[in-house]
Amino acid sequence: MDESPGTPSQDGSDTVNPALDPDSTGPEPEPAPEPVSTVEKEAWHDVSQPRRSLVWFILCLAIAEAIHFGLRQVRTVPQTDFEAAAKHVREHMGQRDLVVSAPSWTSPRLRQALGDAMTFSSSTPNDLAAYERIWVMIIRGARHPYQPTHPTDFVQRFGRVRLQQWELGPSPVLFNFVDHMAQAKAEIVTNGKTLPCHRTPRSNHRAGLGAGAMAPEQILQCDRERPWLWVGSTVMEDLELKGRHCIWQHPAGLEPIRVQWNNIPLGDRIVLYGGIYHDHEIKELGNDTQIAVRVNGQEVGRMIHRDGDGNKRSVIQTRPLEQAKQHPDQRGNVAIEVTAADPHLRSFCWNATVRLGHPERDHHGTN
Amino acid sequence: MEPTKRKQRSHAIRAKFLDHLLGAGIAAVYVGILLATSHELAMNRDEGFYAVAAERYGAWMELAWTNWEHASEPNVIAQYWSYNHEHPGLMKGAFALSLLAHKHLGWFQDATTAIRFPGMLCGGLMLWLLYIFGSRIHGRAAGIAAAFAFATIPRVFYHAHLDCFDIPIAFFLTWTTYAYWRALKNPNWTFLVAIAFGLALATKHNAWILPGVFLIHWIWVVAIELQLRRRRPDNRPSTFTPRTVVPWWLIGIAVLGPPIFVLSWPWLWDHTWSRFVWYVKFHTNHVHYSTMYLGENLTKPPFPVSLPWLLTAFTVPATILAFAGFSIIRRSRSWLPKKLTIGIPTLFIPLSVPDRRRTDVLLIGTMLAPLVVISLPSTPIFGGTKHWIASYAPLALFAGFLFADIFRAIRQRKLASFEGKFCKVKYATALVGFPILCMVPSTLEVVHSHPLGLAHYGFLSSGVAGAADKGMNRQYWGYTHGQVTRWLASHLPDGGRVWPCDATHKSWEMMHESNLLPKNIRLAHHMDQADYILVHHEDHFAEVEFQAWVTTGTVQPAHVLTYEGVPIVSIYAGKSKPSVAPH
Repeated sequence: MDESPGTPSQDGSDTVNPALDPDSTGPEPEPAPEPVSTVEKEAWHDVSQPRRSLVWFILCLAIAEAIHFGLRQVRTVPQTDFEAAAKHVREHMGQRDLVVSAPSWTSPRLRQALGDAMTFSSSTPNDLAAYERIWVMIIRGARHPYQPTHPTDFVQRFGRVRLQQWELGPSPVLFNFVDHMAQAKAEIVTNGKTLPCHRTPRSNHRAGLGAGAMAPEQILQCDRERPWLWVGSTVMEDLELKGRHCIWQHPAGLEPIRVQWNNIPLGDRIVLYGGIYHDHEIKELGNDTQIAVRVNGQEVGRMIHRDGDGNKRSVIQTRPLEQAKQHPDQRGNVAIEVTAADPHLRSFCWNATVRLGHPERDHHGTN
Repeated sequence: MEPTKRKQRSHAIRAKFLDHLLGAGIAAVYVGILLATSHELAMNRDEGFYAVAAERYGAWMELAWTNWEHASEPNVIAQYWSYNHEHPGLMKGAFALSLLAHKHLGWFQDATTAIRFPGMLCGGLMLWLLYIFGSRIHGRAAGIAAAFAFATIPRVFYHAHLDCFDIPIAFFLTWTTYAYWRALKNPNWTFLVAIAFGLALATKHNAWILPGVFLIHWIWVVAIELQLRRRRPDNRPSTFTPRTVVPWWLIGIAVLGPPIFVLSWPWLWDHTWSRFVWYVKFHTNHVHYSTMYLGENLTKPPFPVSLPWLLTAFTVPATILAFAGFSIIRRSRSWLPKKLTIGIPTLFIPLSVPDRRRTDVLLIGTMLAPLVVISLPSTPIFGGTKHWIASYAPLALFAGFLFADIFRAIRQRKLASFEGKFCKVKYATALVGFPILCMVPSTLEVVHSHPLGLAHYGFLSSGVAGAADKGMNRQYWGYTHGQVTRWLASHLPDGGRVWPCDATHKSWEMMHESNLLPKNIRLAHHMDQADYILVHHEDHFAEVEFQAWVTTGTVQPAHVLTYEGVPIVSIYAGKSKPSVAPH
């Protein structure tokens, strides 16, 4: 194809037709003798002819873009596919089954189809320890981070949704604190004096961006003057914008707010997850939050949460594993105390489970 | 005047008239399409604020009409114009005038359309301008293609509907650029440069960077010009005369720009300097928006430098990007320093010669400036393509230039000889098929994008779902509730209350006013009093969804609005309503 009107010289140097040399002070070329209006082509007269390969490339791109557009529409996964997969799960679902979907942005579609069979905890799991089986609804060839690496125990396609299921083995979880919030008692220590927190309907209905965790219908209110000092289960947005079903326990200062469960299984360890509400943690105020775990009044472990930790995980031994295995039914009182030197915007929320044995399950699918 | 010259002049006038007639026709069609498609678009957050401003400024205008002395008192001006004084008054004043036209003359079907009309008009004028600009540089085909390319960028189409400043400022910036380009050859255009720049200043602060771009370009042009004159003093004068080498445009914008800015904004008529300083500080210390980018929720600077570039690649149709990109490459020998192009075969960068006004440099400068400014680590965080939408005008022009070159080559049978059997059919097919094929992708995308324009992603991101996979921002501005109004109306036949998430009260009110939503479906001020709770799916709004779970006691949405399968809005049933049909 020619490169008219300018052509490079034979030696490849950048010689240009003098008439078209930009540095020439000769008259600007006359308008092209095209059947165009006189206002046309004021600026450029000299663009070389496009190569045929370029034209073909653009045409192929246009066709590819149009076909891709069509394929996108055809491949859009209808909600009926999720519903069909959900129907199968519903028919075979056990009490310790977890259902997730991949990619993560499909979660609302999964919950629309199966949300009535899901709980706050199963919608926001910290790890897989509480579950003995996992179902994954997959589209677009995605992979869920909780998906085990061993071969699947079940796979079936429902339209464009691929449903897979894995056995995870026995769960080591004996007790979930969040699920037993109704049994808990809370108290606040003020000037050395311990005062009970009272069960009361929530008074704060604030919702929306920046409002933080919504209080549940019933809360344990610790100080009416400081309405954020309540204890109760909620779902809070963590540093990664993920939901966490957790117990809200905002520190009051160096003196603790304490929440206690009596006569619960002790297992051999408590796996504790805790974090600060996203909008407060990103402010990086630098005020640490301290969480002490007491069993029958004795402190058995402590977690320090610092800005940037996000949903932090700690494993606190309640008893040696061998002793726990010998006395698996041993029960006791467990208290969680939260303090902070400066409690300003330390909107702490935690979730913990008592576990026995199978320590390998603690890490499985830790998110 | 000689008969030949008279004939030429008459031909030129007729051609100019025809060009402007065609440009006006393109603009009219576009505004018509915008008017026809705006009803289903609920007002977004910013639109709601500007609608309130339009009402207040309109009330002041009515007062000024009847009692100017009272209306011009500083305390009265402050009373009406203090609202939303972080942006200049020109466009909001235009929204107000349009609203008054609706109120007193009934020109529009509803107040929402009335308030939006000036923005739509700017969208139409932009296409007219692009057609004229493209035609003057490279012929009518280039002008038409440029206007089409700009019009069919999905995000442009969305923004062109709104009572916001993004398309208006893109228009005024491009108009100023065009006038400046004309003024380089004909100083009589200086006045228009100054007027256009003043109006740009009075529209949005994006105008601040334009003189810098012009100055760089002007120094480039004049330096080369002076060099040529020194080298060959005996040669005939070029396009530039001593008169044109003086930066009249700069003098013009310096003299007329600020007065237009101040006069168009009554808020600045009193305490001018202190209020102006506040305005400048507001934008130089702007809050940082939250935006999702490649799986990371950005809340603090520095922003990734790649953000505006990748978002442009993901949201502008690939065919338009290819046309523009290859066009810039094809022209690069005309503006790149020679040293950079030595050794590059013409296969990759063909020969091209710059015009005296260095149009390439000007267009590349105006295209890159908004993108570069947003890319700077020190710039406050903005995550929407609207902030650099002015870049898309020169981008569309470049796309138009290459389209015109190819189309011309086909027309002149230079790409293929079209010989043999059915040669006429082949020729006609190529002549018609090439433009149609080039137009199809962006037409499909823009039609499909409406009315969820800000959620739209195209070919290079593998569509909306591909963008969601990559962790790109799903939407912003809380406008997608317009697409769940039918669902709400069918589920609340006797009315009820809805918690609106990111939708503003004004947006809700305007949906009632334009009959997009039955008036008995009101806003709930508390989430737990709502019959239905809306959640706009934008990552940093996750907490609202969790609040809805705790309030309703379920994780199951009653309805999910999706776009290419990607959730856009979830609706949760309040405790008084059944969540979903029993399974």
